[in-house]
Amino acid sequence: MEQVFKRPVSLKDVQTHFCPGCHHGTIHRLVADAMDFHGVQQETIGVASVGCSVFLYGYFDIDVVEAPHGRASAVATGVKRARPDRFVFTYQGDGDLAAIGTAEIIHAANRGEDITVVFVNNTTYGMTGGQMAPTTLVGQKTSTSPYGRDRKKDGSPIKMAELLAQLGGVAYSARVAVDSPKNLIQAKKVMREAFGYQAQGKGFSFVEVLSACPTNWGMTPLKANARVGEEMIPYFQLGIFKQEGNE
Amino acid sequence: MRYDLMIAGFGGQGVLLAGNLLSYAAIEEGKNVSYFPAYGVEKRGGSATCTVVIADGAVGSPVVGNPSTLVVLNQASLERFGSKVRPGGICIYNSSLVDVSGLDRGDITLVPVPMNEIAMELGDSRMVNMVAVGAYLALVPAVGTASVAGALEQALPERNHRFIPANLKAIEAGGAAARQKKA
Amino acid sequence: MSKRLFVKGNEAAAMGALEAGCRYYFGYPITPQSDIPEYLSRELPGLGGEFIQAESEVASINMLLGASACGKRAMTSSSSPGISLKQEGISYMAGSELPGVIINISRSGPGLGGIDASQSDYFQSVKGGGHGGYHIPVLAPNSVQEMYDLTMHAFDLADLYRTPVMVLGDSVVGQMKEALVPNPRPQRELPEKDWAVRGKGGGEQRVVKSLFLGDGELEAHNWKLHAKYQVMKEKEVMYETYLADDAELLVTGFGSVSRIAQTAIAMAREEGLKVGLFRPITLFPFPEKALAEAGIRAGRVLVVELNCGQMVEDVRLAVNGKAEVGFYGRPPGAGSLPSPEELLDVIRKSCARI
Repeated sequence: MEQVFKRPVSLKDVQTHFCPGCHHGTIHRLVADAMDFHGVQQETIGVASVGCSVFLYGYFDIDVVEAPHGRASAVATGVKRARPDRFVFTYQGDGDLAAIGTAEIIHAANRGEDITVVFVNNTTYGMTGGQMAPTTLVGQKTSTSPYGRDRKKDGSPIKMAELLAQLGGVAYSARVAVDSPKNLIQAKKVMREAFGYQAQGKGFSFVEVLSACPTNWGMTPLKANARVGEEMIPYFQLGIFKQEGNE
Repeated sequence: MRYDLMIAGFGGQGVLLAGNLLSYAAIEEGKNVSYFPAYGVEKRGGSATCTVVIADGAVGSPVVGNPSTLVVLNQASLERFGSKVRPGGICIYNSSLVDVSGLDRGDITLVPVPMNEIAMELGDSRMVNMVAVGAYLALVPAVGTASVAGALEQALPERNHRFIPANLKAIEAGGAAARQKKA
Repeated sequence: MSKRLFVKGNEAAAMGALEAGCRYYFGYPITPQSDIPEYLSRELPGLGGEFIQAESEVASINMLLGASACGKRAMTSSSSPGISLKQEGISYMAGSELPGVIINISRSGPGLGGIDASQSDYFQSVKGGGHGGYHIPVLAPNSVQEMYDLTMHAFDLADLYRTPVMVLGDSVVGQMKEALVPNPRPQRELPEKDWAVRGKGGGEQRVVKSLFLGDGELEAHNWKLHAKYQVMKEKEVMYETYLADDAELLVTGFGSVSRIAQTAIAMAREEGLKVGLFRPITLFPFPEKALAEAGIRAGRVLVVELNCGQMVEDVRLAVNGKAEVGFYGRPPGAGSLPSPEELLDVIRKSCARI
């Protein structure tokens, strides 16, 4: 009998600490799948960030460096420059990448560092308890925007995939979601493509993944999953914004 | 022996190059040397100062409060450092630009050298610093003139090596002027 | 013997780093240390190394963290305000037990302050600097030769103890030029970097991290770091004395001011005053035992610093009331470097009161 579904070898056989309905587990799986697909697990160095994704090393069976909050792309720059023969990716949340680490991500991207960045956008700070993130939608209530995000005071949710696509050093920039089978299939394809860019030495690749955070959104897993399609995707549109060599 | 020297002027007079040149010569002679450029606000104020200490043994402090020799290329430097020369010390000044009548220092030897005129006579006003170096070496045997000639190659960027003979002439002329004034 | 060169202290430090095998530099321009990145940006590409002018001090210390996590000798340099920005990364490196060299050609503060020589970063350097109760070795060169030698030594210490190491200078030792003998790097037996990430390649997973959430893990980790600091205190203390044996007044100061003090002491000796110098070379580990011995023997210690009094606190702890401790300090400000003549005056006054 043929086995048609199995755990990627890059993923450890352990239970995650993620909350029920959280998309991190699914996104981890996509990342592991992309590593398997390109056969780079044994030569990969992952860079973990601060947030719910900090336990990267507990779930991926790869070498990992843990970066200070927001600095993952700078740490990955150091790793890749020191080991240009290795596959290097970061896995960062929205507070980490789009707030405290904005300078680091923009400049790593602009230098065209040959790394892959997986960016999980769940419109909130998950680990610290659901505070307003730079990606929090206008009107969205969080523990630090109790009256809803106010565009005048708090600015607009930042669209990282589009923003980075403007930079010369970026070879690939896309946004995907994992809320439906259709989106998941596309996300898997995009993740493999993004990793392929680095595997072929084509430069900086970036995948933003829209993710549910039922706990901090105060929703059931099903409702949270539905919110991704109903509220997030209309603002954070899915698509490939840059794909060098394929325009 | 330990020789300490402060050279001061305004930016563009080649003060730092003069200090560097003497330092390279000291290195060539196997001596110890420290060269400390004035740094900071002064640098942007248009003035340039450096302190050079040449010693057979340990250099000790690269910072000198009361130099035994002061070479001043402009008036502002005289006013700033003239009072600091160690009693019994020497102040060589660029008499083309510096008026020492306001300086009340009977306890030091004042040596006027018309550095700008000498440099102009040699055909290059940029040689003021070399005239100063020559004057200094005529009065203070911190390093030999021969080592200075050798050191020019190191102190000057390669593109300026063609000016070495002219530099040497200026050093000689500065020396002659200083010896004459002192005598 | 190698040929004697005549170079700036900052260049000497960069040369020492290259001789030590450092091939990765990450930095951000700031006066008065920019000669270091300028030198390395010229030299590293030809040596197969990497030079990045980062977007910030924060980014550069984290690039250093990444390269070091791969087991490579790497460094950054900056000056006081930039070093403040690097403290986050230094704390993470200390917590992750990552080697790395940080050169601080310090300037005056607080805030933007000024660019002239200052020793106001003593506390920040030796007491941890960042959060979390760690220490890093701090080396204080007082000559161009030491800028070279101690930078090389810093790389060895970093690898031996798996710790960031700081070389702390100022614009005097950074900007002055002196003779330099570029000696080959000392051959020291160093532990294998069997912790460095490299891509598993069929081996065990390696993780470089400073997060310890398991029961008792963080406590054990802190005790481990503490034990390391105790070993450094036993084995890595460096200091120098000058005419200290029969001194009745022991002057102590580190870095640039020790050079000024040395000349002042030579002048004082000519006047028949029994004065000597004790110069800490490692500021952490602080040479507390040797300083206490010399200070108590003299009975009176004069601490000289280019600040309003920082190292003096460690001197007082070291002599623990068994010698009188005086202080002469100069806060930073244009032209505020004390001359040997001024220090001589202070020494005379100190001696007169004995």
